[in-house]
Amino acid sequence: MIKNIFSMISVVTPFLLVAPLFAEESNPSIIHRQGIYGAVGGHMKAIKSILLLEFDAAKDVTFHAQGIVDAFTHMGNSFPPGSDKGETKAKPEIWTDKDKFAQLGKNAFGAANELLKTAQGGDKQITLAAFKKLGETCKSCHDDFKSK
Amino acid sequence: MAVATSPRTIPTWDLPLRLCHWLLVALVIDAWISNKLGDMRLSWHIWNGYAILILLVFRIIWGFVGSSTARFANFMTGWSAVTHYLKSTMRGNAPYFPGHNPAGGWSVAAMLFLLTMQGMCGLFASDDIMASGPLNFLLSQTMTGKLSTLHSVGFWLLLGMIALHLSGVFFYLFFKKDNLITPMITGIKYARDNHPEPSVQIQSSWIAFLVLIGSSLLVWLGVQVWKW
Repeated sequence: MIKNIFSMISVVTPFLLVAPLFAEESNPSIIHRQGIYGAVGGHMKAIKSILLLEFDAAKDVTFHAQGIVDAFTHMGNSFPPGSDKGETKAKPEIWTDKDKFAQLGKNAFGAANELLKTAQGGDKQITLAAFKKLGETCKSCHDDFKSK
Repeated sequence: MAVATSPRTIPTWDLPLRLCHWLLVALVIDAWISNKLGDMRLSWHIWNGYAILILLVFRIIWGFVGSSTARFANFMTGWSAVTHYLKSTMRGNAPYFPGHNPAGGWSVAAMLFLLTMQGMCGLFASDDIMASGPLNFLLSQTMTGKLSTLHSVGFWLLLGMIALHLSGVFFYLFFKKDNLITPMITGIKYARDNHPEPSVQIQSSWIAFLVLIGSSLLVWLGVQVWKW
């Protein structure tokens, strides 16, 4: 009897241990903000291909910059308390150091608006500088608030 | 009265191996610098990584065709040899190895393994902004995310490994009065009177040059072949 229980436990335990690896994230806040950041990342990639890898679509930078600004304006309340648990790289500091997190978010939003303005201006070099600036604001926030 | 004789020299580390060692030191430091101070796309860091991978492939091939002290077969031993060596070191009567001793051999293998993993993870890594390794496009975002994490964790593992390496070297320098640093620069060690003279076969540097060209080609192929 005891032997059977032990053998059952030893068979089931490994499955229970690895189960979280296959679990899909179900927290809507996490799914939503990852979707928003994914959209921003997609636009960033497209701008990179145009400004840095010579993809021939100079006029589209405005569209992508607008897309980043729009995505940021539709973030909503993406970091409610408790959403640091789950399939997320959000560091707990987001909730303990709220002011700094908010400031870095505003910096990125400002840089995205600046990119949109320069893209509308049409000068590639100035746009590229604004693009790099935006990348730096992303990185400064990731460094403190996104786990590696 | 004993007749003083100048100690016999033993050429221990061949020139390519020494160059490989010190270049790796410089490039690993530069990998850190180029990550901290590099441009948004980390192009300097990525080129630095190619150079490290080429040196690693070189060192691994050299471990089969190089001088006798460079060959894995001559310094990769079983665990019993390692424990025996460590125990006799504690007692102070360890046998003398001109090249890597059994414990050192394993730490060399661990260092090479960690560096190789670090370099290969870097090929797939991305910072989710503008920088991405050349093979980032090959795998899913979930996978590259995990490899990027490994690449970050790898830095700390490597730092620990380097600390272990340096403390080993200084342990030998201060407690065993055995300077391992100078031979890694000059290549030369001195025979010890109470130990039989070890025989070391030094491989020609020309072969190393060919191996280096081969290693560069291999790394280049390893990165490019996926785009064909």
